[in-house]
Amino acid sequence: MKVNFDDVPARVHPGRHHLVRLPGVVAIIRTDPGTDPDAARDLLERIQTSSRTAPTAPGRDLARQLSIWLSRFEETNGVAPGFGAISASENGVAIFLYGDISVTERVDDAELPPEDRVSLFGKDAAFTVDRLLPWPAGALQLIADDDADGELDIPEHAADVLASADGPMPAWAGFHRGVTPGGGLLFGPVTDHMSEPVVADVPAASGSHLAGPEVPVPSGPGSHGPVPGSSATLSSAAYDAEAMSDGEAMVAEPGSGERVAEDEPMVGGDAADGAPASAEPMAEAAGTSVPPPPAPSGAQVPPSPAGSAVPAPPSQRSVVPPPPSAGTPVVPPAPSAGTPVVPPAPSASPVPPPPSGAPVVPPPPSGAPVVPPPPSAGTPAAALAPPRLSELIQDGPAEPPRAPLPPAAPAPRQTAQQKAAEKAAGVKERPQDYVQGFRCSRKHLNDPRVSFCRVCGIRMDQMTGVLVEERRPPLGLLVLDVGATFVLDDNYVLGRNPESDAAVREGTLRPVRLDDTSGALSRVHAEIRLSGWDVVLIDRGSANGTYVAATDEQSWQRLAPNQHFVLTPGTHVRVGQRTFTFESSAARLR
Amino acid sequence: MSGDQPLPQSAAPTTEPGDLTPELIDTDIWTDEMVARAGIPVVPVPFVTVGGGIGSFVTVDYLRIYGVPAQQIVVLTGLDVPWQSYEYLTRVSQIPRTERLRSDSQSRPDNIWGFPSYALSEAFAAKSLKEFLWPLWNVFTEPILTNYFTPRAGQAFSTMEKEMNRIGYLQSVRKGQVRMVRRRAGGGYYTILTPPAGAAPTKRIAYQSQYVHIAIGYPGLRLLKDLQDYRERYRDPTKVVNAYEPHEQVYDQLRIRPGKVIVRGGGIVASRVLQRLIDDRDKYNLRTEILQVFRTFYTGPHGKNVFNRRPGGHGWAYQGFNYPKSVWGGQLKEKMAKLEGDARAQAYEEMGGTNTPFRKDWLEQLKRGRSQGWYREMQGAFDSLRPGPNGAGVVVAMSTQHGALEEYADFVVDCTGLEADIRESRVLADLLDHSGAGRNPKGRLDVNAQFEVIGTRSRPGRLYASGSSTLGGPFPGVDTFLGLQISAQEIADDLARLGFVKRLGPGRSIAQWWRWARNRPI
Repeated sequence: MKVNFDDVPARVHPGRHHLVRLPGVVAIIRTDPGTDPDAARDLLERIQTSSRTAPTAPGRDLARQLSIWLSRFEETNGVAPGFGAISASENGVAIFLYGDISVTERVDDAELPPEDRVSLFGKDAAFTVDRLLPWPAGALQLIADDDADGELDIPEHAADVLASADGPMPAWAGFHRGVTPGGGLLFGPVTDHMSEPVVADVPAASGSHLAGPEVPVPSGPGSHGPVPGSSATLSSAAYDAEAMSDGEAMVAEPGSGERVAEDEPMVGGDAADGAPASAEPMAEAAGTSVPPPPAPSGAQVPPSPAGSAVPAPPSQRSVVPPPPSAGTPVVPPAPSAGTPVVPPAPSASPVPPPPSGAPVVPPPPSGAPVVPPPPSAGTPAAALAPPRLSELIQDGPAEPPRAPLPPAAPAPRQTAQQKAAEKAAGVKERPQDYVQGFRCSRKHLNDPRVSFCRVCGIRMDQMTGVLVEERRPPLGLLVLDVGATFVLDDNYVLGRNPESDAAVREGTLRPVRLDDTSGALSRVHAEIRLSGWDVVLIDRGSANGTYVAATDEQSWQRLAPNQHFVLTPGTHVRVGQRTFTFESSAARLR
Repeated sequence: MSGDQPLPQSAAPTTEPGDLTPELIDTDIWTDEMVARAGIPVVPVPFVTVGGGIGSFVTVDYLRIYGVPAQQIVVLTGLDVPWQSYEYLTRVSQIPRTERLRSDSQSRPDNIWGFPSYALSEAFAAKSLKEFLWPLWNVFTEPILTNYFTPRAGQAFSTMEKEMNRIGYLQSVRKGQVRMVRRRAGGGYYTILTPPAGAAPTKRIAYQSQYVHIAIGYPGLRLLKDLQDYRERYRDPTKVVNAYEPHEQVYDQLRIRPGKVIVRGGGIVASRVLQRLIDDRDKYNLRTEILQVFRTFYTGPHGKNVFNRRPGGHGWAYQGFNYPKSVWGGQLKEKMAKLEGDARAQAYEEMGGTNTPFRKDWLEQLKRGRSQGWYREMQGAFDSLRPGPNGAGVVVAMSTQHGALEEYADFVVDCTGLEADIRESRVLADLLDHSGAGRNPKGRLDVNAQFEVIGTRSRPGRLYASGSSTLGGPFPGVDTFLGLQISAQEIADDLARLGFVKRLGPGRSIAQWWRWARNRPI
């Protein structure tokens, strides 16, 4: 079966981890509390690089990149966060799993005996699972195995319900590109049998324990931990995603994410503003009022998402009291209710991509109290299933684990401290300062693409290229219009007041302050990022834009905000009224 | 399919199929069984040329014109086109396509007959009478009334491209890195190629051939130790540059604010860098200051006797081409062919040495600089380099005839293009270690007058080499366009004697020239 990987629909299921979709790759990266946010960002960078270098079949390269990264990371930093990727390979898919991530095949006709279905578990492997498979008959479910006994299943039928509403799944409901929070995704062709309303057997089978599956989730830290926690992680994810994926098709809005991260009040950050404010009330509300209600309460915990960002949520919430539980934008609840009532309301809200931000953002306090009472929807649910997850919430003992809640808000500050500590320990410790290259015959590290060593000038074809990883050498320099130069040995932010950038304060980016009296230069105007052996220029949404011109071109070309532009030697760049030139001594033949 | 027992895969690469085995690496002469045991696929082809630069191109051009079909030739290379590496080096050393190379009008790598020469071609492509007459007048009166005619770099590359397409050169090209050439038991050679990752099912491919030609050029630059030390120690790639590396940033910065540059060296590249600095100075009205440091400072004409004189002055030694013209066909060629050992090395010493062509334009620029005080030259040798006060500029410690001296400069442009030892090339080192090749008096690969590498014969096969890795042989000037052509002709004639190809007699030669002239495929 010849399938174009990028046309295969993917459905997101709620959760707090990062889901990634780029040309040729879908992936999940776990963000358990306590994992290193840098690790997730690094992984994302790797995945992105692989996707960019071989968008049609990144499978092999990706597996190699991930193995290399993993072994190095485990040597220096201990256990890496779990992650998994399904990527296109020459004639099928490549699967790479590590940690608590699984891939299982979902085929809902019984022809295929269960033992013939794909079923891979990252935690069963000594190190990683690394497979090449032909295209599976059904859909592949890539999820973070969050609940204790690993039984948590993605409600494939939720998608079916969606799909059956009117023909195939609406285009906007799929996950096409970018990074979004979630607990897993169902990746597979919408075949006939999938769009059939197989709903019949839904409730009985998997639907049961799905009740509010992973939104409430949290294996360890108690029911609430994840919700606010994820808002923090999301924010960084959103930022990274924005920065990383060429700025297109970004699900999460960078701005809001960043703001949350800095915890800095900003205009228009309704979602973000809401978050910190409401987090605690919400927690309290949940803590006190939720337990009493019946079992289904589990189902309401997810409502949290009622996402302030989603348009017209209030009205919806108030108007449709019964399905509020379902109203939770995310897919799973729908099946839990299982009843035909569900589709209408959720179909509007489930929108997986846009609400991405939403599910994590706790609803305004006002909303919270409203929700619990109408557990009317809960009653059926109670009948339905063993609400394993609800029990956690219900039980008294479940209370203490809520401890993780408070850290959620200050989390960014913690990472800032970590960064500072890292910085103090020496730049060398930062994994992003390392780069893979070939050594020349005199052992100098070089870009695999150059023909002569940058240090000693020897030809690079003397050695068979074996990739080694070492600290990145300077990749060139910026010659400013006044004659000053900046050697590019780190990531820089350029602007009138670059210190106002959160990343600068955190120490991940270094500021280059430019003086410009014309007023055309934004405070944070553009960013220079070292990515592998490339120097990338990114306009940071400046008011007057960032312009580039090749060596002998007279006309300026404006970069789109957040567009990644790889600088070639001799490229002139204009920000505001200031110009600079990028130069490099890399000996590329062309 | 049941995926319940995932197989953990280690990240460490294990031995790939078709890789070299220790047995192969340790054995000088390979049998077919050994190669088969290693699982390396074998491709039989009569003639293999390694390198893929202009040396390989010229040799293939000769063989194709002599009548060898393209299918019988394989070019193993990492380059996309033969002149890629050459063009890169000329471009960064300030000879872009519009500037003139230091090469004779008749040495055309795209034309084995040398007729019409570059000058004639340029004249006939002219769009005005002056442009038509100038090249003709130039070659007619050179070097007495005018300087030697030299072709534009762009002309050399575009004509080579035309010839490359005419002979179907790219059909013979196989991309990859050559790891080694070893003799084969029973005659001929195995050439091991490492194709680009993923391009072939096995890590290596063996080309089994009767004849191998090696033209891998010079193994690379050897930057002087002071320069390398500075780079590695201060991690600063900006202020101290080698002229054979991209260094536009130096000119960029000088355009923005005035600065002082130390130029080291007295070769062609130094003169190009000076010309660029002064051109920019004039064009943008800059106040660039230049100090030039010669290791050997010529104050006037020099040479061992009146018949062996070379003009010089202000530190420079002037010579039209990098060899006296007579090495390509005159009495010097005859004389050199008879010299062996130290006598040959001595002769090379005498005619070699760093020199640069006498061209009026930049010599006038220097004269102006001297009189206005912004250009100075001196004799000296660098001892060390270190960053200047507050990290600005560079302080160069030198020893001169008059003692130690420290000079401050904003930039140092190093124009000493030393070539690395042939052992730095893995292929050549392997030839020395395992295939019986030796070194000539200049330390390069020892070849005979037919450009066969002495000591490597694997009857009935032969191994040839040409280009700069054979410098120091009985024929000087091998590292020039004309030198490459002469060696290609010697090789083709030798192959004709062995019966691999028919000799090119006058009749066929004229017919082939006619095809060339009309740009008809062979």
